[in-house]
Amino acid sequence: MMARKERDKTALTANSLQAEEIAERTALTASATQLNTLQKSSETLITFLDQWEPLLEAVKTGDSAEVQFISKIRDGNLVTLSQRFETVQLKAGSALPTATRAQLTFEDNYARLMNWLGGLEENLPTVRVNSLKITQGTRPQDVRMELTVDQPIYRP
Amino acid sequence: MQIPRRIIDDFKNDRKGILPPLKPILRLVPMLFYLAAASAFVLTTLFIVHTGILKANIVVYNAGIADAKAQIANTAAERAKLEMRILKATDVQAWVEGSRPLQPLAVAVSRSIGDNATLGDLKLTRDEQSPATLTLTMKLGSASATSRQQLDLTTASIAKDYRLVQPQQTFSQGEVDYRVTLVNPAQATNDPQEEAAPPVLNTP
Repeated sequence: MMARKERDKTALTANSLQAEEIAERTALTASATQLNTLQKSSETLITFLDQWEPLLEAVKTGDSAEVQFISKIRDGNLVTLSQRFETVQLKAGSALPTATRAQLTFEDNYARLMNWLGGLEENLPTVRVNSLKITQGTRPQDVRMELTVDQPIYRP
Repeated sequence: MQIPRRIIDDFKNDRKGILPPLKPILRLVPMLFYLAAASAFVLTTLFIVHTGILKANIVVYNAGIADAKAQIANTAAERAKLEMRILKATDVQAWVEGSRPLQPLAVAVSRSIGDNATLGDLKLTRDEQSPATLTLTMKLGSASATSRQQLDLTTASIAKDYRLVQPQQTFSQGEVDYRVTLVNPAQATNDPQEEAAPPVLNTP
């Protein structure tokens, strides 16, 4: 009698655990399916991130962004009238929360300026030229170019 | 002293009140007793064995539940990680969309200027809320007869890559003040596949 009661009690526990295991396995299957669906739907976006991430990670701090800008300006050997750098807030909580903003003014030959700008945008593909203003320079053959460029600081 | 057998017989009572012999079927009673005892033993053994099997199953079920829970936790962690990367990718995509080079556009505008015209000022500004959208402002100078033609040429060169929205133009004495909002049609699809892949840079 005691053995039967013990057996019945154990059977009850075993049945409830079996049901719980089945429920957990079902939940696991559902969660794995959802993950798979999400992986498939985001594949293009993730590939896109994988392509751009190394370029963004190359500039880790505001100082390195500033050094990068200064190096490009020096390489261009342009007549620089002014250069100013500041840190600006982009979007709090995003992958690109801040940026180093460069406000640059040059006065030089039109072709040299355009080549330099093209080179800047090609070699530093993550920068964003926010505004570009081209006006007549002091000398007839020169033009004045005022630029505002942002280099985002990536938060990996 | 020996008592004679005949005298002993005399001691016996009369046997009239003695019970009749039991029916043969009642022989089953002890048999059933022993059968019940044996069955009780067998059943108890079976119950004990079955309980042992069930207890072993409980261990298996518990292990299965723990394993499933661990896998669910792993899946959830992987999903959270993926969602984080999707958010990052969305942020990066938005940045890249709004960072298309301006130099080709400035060069296209400059190249569209004919011999009889001059480009006074050229200003390209990104919209703060929607950086993929640009505002172009320029001052064209030319003989009044050709200023409209020049403007058409310039806008045609821009229209190759951008959609021109809300153009505003003011003609006065051979000068045209022109302002237009530029929208890149490719950016409206919001598909990262249509985004240019980053250029392959030569390491110095």
